[in-house]
Amino acid sequence: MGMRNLLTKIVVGLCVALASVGLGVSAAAAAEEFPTKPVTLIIPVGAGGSHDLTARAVTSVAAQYLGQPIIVQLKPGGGGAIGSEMVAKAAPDGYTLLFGGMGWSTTYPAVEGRSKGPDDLMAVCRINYSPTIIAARAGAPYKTFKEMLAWAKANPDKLIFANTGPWGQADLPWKMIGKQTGIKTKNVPYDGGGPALLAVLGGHADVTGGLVTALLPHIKSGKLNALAVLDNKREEKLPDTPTAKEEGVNVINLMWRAVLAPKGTPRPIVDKLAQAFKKMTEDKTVVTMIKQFGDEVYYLGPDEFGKAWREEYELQKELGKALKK
Amino acid sequence: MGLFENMAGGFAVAVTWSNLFYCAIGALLGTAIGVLPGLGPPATIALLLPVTLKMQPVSAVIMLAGIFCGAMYGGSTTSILLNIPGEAASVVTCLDGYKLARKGRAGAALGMSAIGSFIAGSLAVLGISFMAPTLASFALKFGPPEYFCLVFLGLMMAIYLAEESILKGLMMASLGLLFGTVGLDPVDGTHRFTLGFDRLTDGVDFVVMAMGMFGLAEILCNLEEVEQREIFKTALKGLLPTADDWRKAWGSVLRGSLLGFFIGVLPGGGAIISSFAAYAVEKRLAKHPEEFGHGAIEGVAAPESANNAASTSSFIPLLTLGIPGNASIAMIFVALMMHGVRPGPLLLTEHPDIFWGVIASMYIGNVMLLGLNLPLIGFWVRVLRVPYRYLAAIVVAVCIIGAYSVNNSAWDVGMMLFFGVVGYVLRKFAFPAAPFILAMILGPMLEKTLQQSLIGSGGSFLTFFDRPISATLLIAAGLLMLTPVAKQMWRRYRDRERLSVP
Repeated sequence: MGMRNLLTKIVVGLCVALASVGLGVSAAAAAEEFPTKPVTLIIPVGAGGSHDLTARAVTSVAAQYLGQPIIVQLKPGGGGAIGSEMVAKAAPDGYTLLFGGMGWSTTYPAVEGRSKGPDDLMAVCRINYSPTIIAARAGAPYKTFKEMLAWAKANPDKLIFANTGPWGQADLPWKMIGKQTGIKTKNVPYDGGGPALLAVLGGHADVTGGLVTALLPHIKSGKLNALAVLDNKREEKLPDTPTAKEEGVNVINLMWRAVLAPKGTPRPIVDKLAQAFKKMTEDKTVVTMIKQFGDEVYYLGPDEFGKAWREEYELQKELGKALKK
Repeated sequence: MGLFENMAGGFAVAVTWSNLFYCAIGALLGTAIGVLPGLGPPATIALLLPVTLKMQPVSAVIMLAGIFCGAMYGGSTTSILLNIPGEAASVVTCLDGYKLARKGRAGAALGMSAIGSFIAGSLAVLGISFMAPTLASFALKFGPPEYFCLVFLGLMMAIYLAEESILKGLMMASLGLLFGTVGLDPVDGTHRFTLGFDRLTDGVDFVVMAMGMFGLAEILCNLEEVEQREIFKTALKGLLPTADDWRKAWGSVLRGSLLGFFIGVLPGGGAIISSFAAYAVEKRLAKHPEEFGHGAIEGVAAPESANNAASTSSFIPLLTLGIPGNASIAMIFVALMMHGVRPGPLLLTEHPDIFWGVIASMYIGNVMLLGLNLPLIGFWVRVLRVPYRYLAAIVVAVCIIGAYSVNNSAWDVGMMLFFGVVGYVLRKFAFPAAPFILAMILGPMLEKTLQQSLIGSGGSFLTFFDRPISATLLIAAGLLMLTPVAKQMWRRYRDRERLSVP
């Protein structure tokens, strides 16, 4: 009996406390500007991937810099299309954001006309990216990118490339390389980075494209040779591997992670969000967490990233047309 | 010599109070999510990733591995009690486990599944500690042609999943293959049969479909015969498998463990294929194959042993090559990376404590899971005593929540209801659901590996016969296909002889 009384009191007390906090907030809301309530960040792909991890790391300190927490919500499906469309349809008030990635925010809309790209969403800021790295099995008769190109030219349709799925991190840049250099190869699809890597390690394929986090241990143990980095600059962890650009092939493929908002979100709100995200990515705990994933922070503001994104989109649109004929 | 030192070192790491505690939490959580359909181990592990950041890397992996293995134990519970496969790998367990439960022998089925899982898990842990590196190179030998032949062999097993009519089984398998093509084309990413729904680009979700076709369909059927249903009761005494059960099933447990262990090493669906394969092998070897599908204890022992052995051996590619073989292991991989430990060829030399600690903790986890699951049997059996009209409502609610939790979307709930109705209609006409599900899982793998093989060989089918492993698997598939035909021909020949003699 006494126990039940006590419980009732606690519950009632909690309710009263919550209600008064709620009233306080709504009273303050009128005076304050954005954000007056938690912001939702939608991740359109599954849990545990690099997008999920990065988003969770960055938003863990959101309340400190934005004044409101950011709630991460997973809406996977359709390779990212489902979540992208939800955000594109959401009210452009800055409270619903999308965690964008090259696949669902550039490639699918540009090449396949599904999901949502820069025509329906706008850039807030880029958090970071991982470049695709082209690597070959150790026993292959070429040790550098140039040698590989020469070998593939001399032996058309002999080199087996393991991609990580149609239009993915490996397939798309490989098609671009093929288009620029004219090499003819067998481009075999695998179910993601792990199986593609396994195929190369087992000698069932010769070359693959992957992210440094996955490839590095095998490069270090001598099972793989890194041939080229598809970035504007060399990869810190692979200082001796040239960029494709250095080797005369202008292909860049950055698997980026960025915050996007519905089109029409007012500029001051975008700026405020971008500023807050910039501070979050400079937070010490966030920086160390992202380092632990094997990545770095490469923040880019709304204008710079918006421009880069648009360029990437137009390039891939053209490429898609050319490759699909 | 070195091995025992290593194992001793591993146990020294695993047997600390905190690590035992994490192991227990993992086992408990895993059992819970295994019992609840929908939210599977990958999602659970992903949700817990932030928590593990503050833990020691060894403790983190021990807890997460406990979840993964616990889910395999728990997944069989709902299969047996309610005909709802909690995990993909326990679909086959439904076939005989649920029939056993309806005969009032739920305790025997649950007990066989728990003890079989324990034996298989323990054998697999021993296997890992002795031959992890050897097995890793075995996995590397599997290129696209080998995978294709393995999957093809697996598909032949659909015949053995047919309960009554083989023809109906094959029809369902064909339908499953067709459903498996829904989604994106594996080579160029073209949409196929997505009917304009973005939701369908990932294909039909397996868990959602299995919940509908097995669980909901079962409830719909039972609603027609509530009165009868309430009569079947389970005796509380004699909960565990009898000596007679063991005599029948010990061979199945061992064969299932072996099959599961070796197939589980191969990345991609190892546990699922091995559970189907183990069932088919037992049915093929059984003296009374007609008992299968009507409550044969071997039909529970074999797949349950296989999927547990497979889930243990699926750690091998991760620990030795740094390549996760399935979604759950991929999450454990992420957890290790977040602690700055890179699993891979260098793990054994750079972090032997983690390698052996994980192996030792898997052993301890198995003991804990057995200790947890055996006492639970009494509880589960009592659940069956809840009047069916209440139980059915609860099960439907759990299924709906489970379906929603897969992708946080109502679409999946709709899909589950759709497949529930489909499953009900099919059952009315005695079409078996298991071959459909097997084919739907294997279909995309079959197509992908065929495409990979043929792109690699420049379109030549000879690639399947050139390579020893793939050729052997193909011959096995051919024999499996021909034996029923040969048997029948022999019978006809014999009958004719008999007839022509007098």
